[in-house]
Amino acid sequence: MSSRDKILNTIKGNQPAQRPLPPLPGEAGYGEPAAPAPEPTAGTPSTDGPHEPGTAAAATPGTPAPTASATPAESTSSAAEPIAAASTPSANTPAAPAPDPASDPAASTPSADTPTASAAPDPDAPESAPAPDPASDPDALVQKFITVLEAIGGTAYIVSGLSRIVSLLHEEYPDARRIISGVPGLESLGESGQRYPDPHTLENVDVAVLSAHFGVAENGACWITEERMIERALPFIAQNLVLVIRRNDIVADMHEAYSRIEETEAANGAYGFATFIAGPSKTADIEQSLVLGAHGPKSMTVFLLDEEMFDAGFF
Amino acid sequence: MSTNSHDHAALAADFNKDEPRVDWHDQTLWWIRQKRDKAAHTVPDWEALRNTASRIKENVLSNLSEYLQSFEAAAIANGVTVHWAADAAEHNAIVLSILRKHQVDRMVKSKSMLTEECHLNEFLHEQGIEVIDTDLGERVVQLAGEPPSHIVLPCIHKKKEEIGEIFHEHLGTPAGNADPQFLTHAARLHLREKFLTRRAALTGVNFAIAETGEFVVCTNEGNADMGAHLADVHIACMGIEKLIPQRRHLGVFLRLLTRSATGQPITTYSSHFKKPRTGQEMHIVLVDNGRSVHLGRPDFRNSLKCIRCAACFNTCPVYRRSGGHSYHTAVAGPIGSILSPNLDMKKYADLPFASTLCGSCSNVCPVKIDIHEQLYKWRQVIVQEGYAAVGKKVAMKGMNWVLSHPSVYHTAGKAGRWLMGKVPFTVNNGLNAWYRQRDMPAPPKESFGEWYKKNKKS
Amino acid sequence: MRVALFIPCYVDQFYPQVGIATLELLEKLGCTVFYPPNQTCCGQPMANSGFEHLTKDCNRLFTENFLGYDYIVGPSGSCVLHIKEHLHLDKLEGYAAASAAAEVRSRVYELTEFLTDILKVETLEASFPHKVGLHQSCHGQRGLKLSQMTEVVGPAFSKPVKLLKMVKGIELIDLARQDECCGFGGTFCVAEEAVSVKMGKDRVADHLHHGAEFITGADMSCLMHMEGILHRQKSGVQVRHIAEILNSRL
Repeated sequence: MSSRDKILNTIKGNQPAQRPLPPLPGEAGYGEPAAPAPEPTAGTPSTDGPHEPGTAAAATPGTPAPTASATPAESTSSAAEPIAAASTPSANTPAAPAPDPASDPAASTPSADTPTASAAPDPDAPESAPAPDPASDPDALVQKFITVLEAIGGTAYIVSGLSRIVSLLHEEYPDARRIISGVPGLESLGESGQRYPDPHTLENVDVAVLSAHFGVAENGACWITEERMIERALPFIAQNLVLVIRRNDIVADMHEAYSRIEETEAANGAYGFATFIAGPSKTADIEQSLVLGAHGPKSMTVFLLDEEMFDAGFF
Repeated sequence: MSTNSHDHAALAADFNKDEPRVDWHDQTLWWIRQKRDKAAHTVPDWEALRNTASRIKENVLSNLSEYLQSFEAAAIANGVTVHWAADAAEHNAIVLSILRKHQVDRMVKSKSMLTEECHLNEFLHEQGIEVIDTDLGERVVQLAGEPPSHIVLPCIHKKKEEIGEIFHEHLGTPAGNADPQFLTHAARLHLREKFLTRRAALTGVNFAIAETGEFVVCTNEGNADMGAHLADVHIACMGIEKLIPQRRHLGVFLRLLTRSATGQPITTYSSHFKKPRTGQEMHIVLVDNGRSVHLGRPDFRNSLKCIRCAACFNTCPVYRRSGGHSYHTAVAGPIGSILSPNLDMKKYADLPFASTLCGSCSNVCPVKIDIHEQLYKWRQVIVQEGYAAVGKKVAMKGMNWVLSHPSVYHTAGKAGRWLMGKVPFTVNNGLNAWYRQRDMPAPPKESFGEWYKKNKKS
Repeated sequence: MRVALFIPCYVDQFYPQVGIATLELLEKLGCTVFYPPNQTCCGQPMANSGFEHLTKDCNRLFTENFLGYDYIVGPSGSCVLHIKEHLHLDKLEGYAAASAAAEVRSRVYELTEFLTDILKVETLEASFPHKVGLHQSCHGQRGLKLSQMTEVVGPAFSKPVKLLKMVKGIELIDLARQDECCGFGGTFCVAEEAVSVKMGKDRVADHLHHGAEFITGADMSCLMHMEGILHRQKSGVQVRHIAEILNSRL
């Protein structure tokens, strides 16, 4: 018998009775605990008797205050607040230094266009606390996307037109020798319209400028499929990555993101490869010190293109 | 990977000889635990999300054979070659055969705990094939000749000065330079050369989608993508439990995974591999290695829900103070302590006891594995299967006899000796281990029972 | 209300004053308290070591001793949790025995949850004018859910804190890690001596750093472990079971 059949047979003999899929966020019954398993398991503590440990107590908390008083989690109201400062017990505690853009010429911030969140990026700071209501306030989604992206080491600009992107990129990367653009209307930036059958030739690309499908407010990620990458390797091998999305193409969370992906696939066909990209390549493997530019891009810039000005072609 | 079956307590005692280092290790990991808390508290429906993830995985375990076949069919339709490996040896042989077919003797590899479990690197090395681990932390421990001590942060036990020395020795960086920024940049240059010259890349798999045949790999560094997109051959190795039913379920898991792991909202890259790129070969190796048997243990099968976020490592007060190597297994920490006995009960009989059963692990687990309850249950199984020391058995029987005979218990207590020598929790080890760094309370004049008899009539 | 007092074996032998405080407190609050004299141990030390199969005799004894009361109350989260989760008598010993064990399981309470949930205590005549650090024992907190846990996203609550706040003059200190395990862990305390002691030292240091004069908690076993470390360090800081503070005189 092949290993395949052997494995499948063993699984068939051992897998438990059918359990249904739960509802996802937004669906009725989401978050409710599963019904008890259909088959009793040997050795499982019985929960008979009027008082089941834990449950009754958990259901009647003494004082339903919103948060525990001394948990580190309490100070989540300010997204930009560095965690290290909030919770450093001693000099021994590893601190994650906020990346200093000035120390890395390639990552230095372009002169301000539309103002975005002003806080210094702290790549490890979590996103800001309560998610804005996407239905009621699309601007809040954009603002949240920008705040989170900057918190994870990226940079975002709201721009009024493609020409603004060109001038910002020229300011940002004056010494760039090789720029590849896959964005219609931004051909003038450098190489465009070419294919690269050998991806190794992309090794010296300074800036890759690509159009992504949408951004995700809760985590600052942008979704991009293969046909918008020119080559699969490009968004990863380039020294700096620039993504362009429509200002209105920000979804609230990953659940909306996957709904959007299904819609895109239905319209444009299936992808062979696609990825979420959230910020520059990074590592904290050495004593938890955060360093941007591990293997891939040292910077990630997202341009949010205002709708009225937006060029029909590709989007 | 260490193959000697040391005992966790002894290895942990060794680790504790350098107390400032234990403090440093503990505080580093506690800091990550705090980041996890902060990230979790930004998601108002966090607990509902965990519950949903747990239930999706329950559904997966109850349909695993169907999902595997559906995944296989979809992957083949996508142009991917699918292999099945019953155990570590077969997995290693499959990888070797793919490399041989392409006459490749040098390969880059991104993080895959499965290949650690299978000891792939050692095997390929013996076959004359060079494997370069490209995750920075993994590269550090690889150069140091050590196994990873943590599944997400492989070199969390290493100080930057030690890493500086390793890089000085192997990569030629200046002696004494221990700046993380500098060292990371040196590794970037060193590994870029590897990415550009290796024709085969192996990656792990975080999630595989039964419906579409695609798989998702999550990294912060981008090393999986650098490897895979530059290589002629991409081999992805996964345990059979990595499946999820549909792509939309990724919404749940990707929200939980990195917040639980490091407190980030998501990894930098969450790459969805579906079809090989033009001219490339893509292989998926589905590995069992004990998982299908584990599925048949009702008390323990839930541990197959694990998505390898390591939140249970970071929160575990024992892990933080004993270090990953004290678990002498590829997957350390609380989850490793319930997964490893399934692989080798004798070798890992000590691990379920390397816990105070405090329960913090179960609380942080994004898929709600009842980790501390399984630790308790493994203890019962290990004793029943005869892996407890004989002396311990005799002592336990003796204690049981005393404790189930009130008159004996009271006489023993009155004599003031029995309990002093054999307080129930010190049975077998005696009091030496207690007294080494702690005192016992002074024995009172009378027990509560004696006081009650004198002062109250019942 | 007929309440049976469940005094864990090590409290009986080493900390009779905790048993006395628990008894007096319950009587003060109007309970009729009985102490079944033949009680010994809940069997947890054996069960946690993997010898649950040997605890049948302990379970039978416990069930015999504690059947027939309205409530069973013990000053130990850990022992109470063990009874709630693991006091089982096989149906082979008779249906009556099995259901008697279930009956006992359903009526056993840890002291502080009994005070807040059953007696619904709102005021206490107690005074303890000291700086006190509360140690959350894991089995009480995470097992019996005596208070919210830092890992969990949910509303804050704490039954022990609610009670301690009724004590006059008490000043509860904050801790850097409010619910980290002390490392006692039953047989863990000797089987993994190095880690156990290190955990205990770290817990104690957190209390000392924040100025505690006393460390309290709902589990004497954790406190015994920390007391052993404090004593060895020649610290003046003392441990007090929460029953002793709640029962302290004005």
